[in-house]
Amino acid sequence: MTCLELEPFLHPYLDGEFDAGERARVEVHLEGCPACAARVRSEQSFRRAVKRAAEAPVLAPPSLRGRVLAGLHAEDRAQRRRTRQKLAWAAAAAATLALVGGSLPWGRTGISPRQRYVESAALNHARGLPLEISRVPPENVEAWFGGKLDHRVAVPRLQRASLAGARLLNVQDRPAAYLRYEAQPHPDTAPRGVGLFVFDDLREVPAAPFPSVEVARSRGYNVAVWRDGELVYELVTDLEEPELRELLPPSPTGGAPLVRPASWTP
Amino acid sequence: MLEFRHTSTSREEFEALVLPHLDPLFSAAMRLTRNERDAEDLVQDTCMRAYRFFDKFERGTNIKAWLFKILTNTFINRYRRRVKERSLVEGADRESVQDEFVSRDAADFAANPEQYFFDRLLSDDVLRAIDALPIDFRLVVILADLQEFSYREIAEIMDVPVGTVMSRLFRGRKLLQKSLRGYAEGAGVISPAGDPTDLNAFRRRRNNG
Repeated sequence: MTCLELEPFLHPYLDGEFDAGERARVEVHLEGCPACAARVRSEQSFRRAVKRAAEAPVLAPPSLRGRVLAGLHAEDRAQRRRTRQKLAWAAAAAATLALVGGSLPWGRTGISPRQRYVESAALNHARGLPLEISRVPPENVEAWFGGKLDHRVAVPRLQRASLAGARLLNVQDRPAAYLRYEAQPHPDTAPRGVGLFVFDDLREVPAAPFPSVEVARSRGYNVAVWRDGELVYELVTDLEEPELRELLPPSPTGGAPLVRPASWTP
Repeated sequence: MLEFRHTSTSREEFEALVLPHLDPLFSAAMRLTRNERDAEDLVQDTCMRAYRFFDKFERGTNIKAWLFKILTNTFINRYRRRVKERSLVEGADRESVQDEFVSRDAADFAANPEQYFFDRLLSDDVLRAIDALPIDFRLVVILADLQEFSYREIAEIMDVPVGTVMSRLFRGRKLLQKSLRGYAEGAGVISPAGDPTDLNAFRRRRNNG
């Protein structure tokens, strides 16, 4: 082995990477070569200095141990949370599937479309909003609605009740005519408010054609629903069903003449 | 995807295996980050990552090497980006490092007792010189000379071939020796080495010796 051959192996030799046979070959050369032996001593001197520096204690601050332990604890907690979340997600996914699968006829809410219209009518009647037109004969009310809605409005003549006035009011998202009556089923009792919504609907609200009238309850009110062609009527009152039925007109419009507003076009 | 579930047993095992290495980890982190706060954060991050991937650790293999691999990767991924050192590492120092051997007169080297000056250096100076090394060289010097990992372990930790470990270590140590010579000269431990081509300086040294 020559000095040049030794060169690349000096470090591995000094770093203890050589086996006994390789070390012996290097040492044979070093015995006969003062220059390389001196270099080895110099390198050893360097290594001793670095080793001394390495032994100068660089200790982790005591707080670091506490930080690491706290970190492990937090990690455990976070992992338990993630596991719980995954389980919750799985449960929610299963529940959603069950809900969608089990409530197909009425969609996700589980409420029938007609019940949604019943509730909307009861709710808007209960708001007691001011009337836009009042103290006028039914003909004037019918005329007033002319042009304000896409359909004609005939004011039904309710039994034992008089028209108090009217306004525009939605049922769900449908613009509707809202008629308010004062009903007096018995002459010796105080008059009771009755609301009647009229809106056009082709198919969505399942309602039987007049004279068949169905009564549903919502928010403490009785709501009577019937259909006349493309118009749906919802009558809202706090009267009991038998009294309510006594209010109903003999025909969809109670025999009143059908007034076509001037602006209405088919 | 199933996540590794920590049980109280694995937590105890982790603490028993890892906590004894906090000092060496912190010591290396200090050399890498060069300030205590970043060093603490680096060790903390290393331990957290180790804990998360504890199931990947092959029981019975070298836990210290495994932890240092995570420390190294964490440092390179996160902390190194802040320090724009890389451009300094490649190129510039390579030639000067290799020149030194070729130009040195072997006989003169053997006759000069000042070659053993390293023994007279202060540990603080050695650490400061290590801290000043470009990161690639610093990392390999820390692993080999301060933590005394084998070439194979270092290759594993740094994810490079053994040959790369050897060449980086060689160059890193040469740079370190060069800067330590500067410390030694500054402290008057040795007389300034003249330019090898400066014949007068060479003769002066001869006459003095």
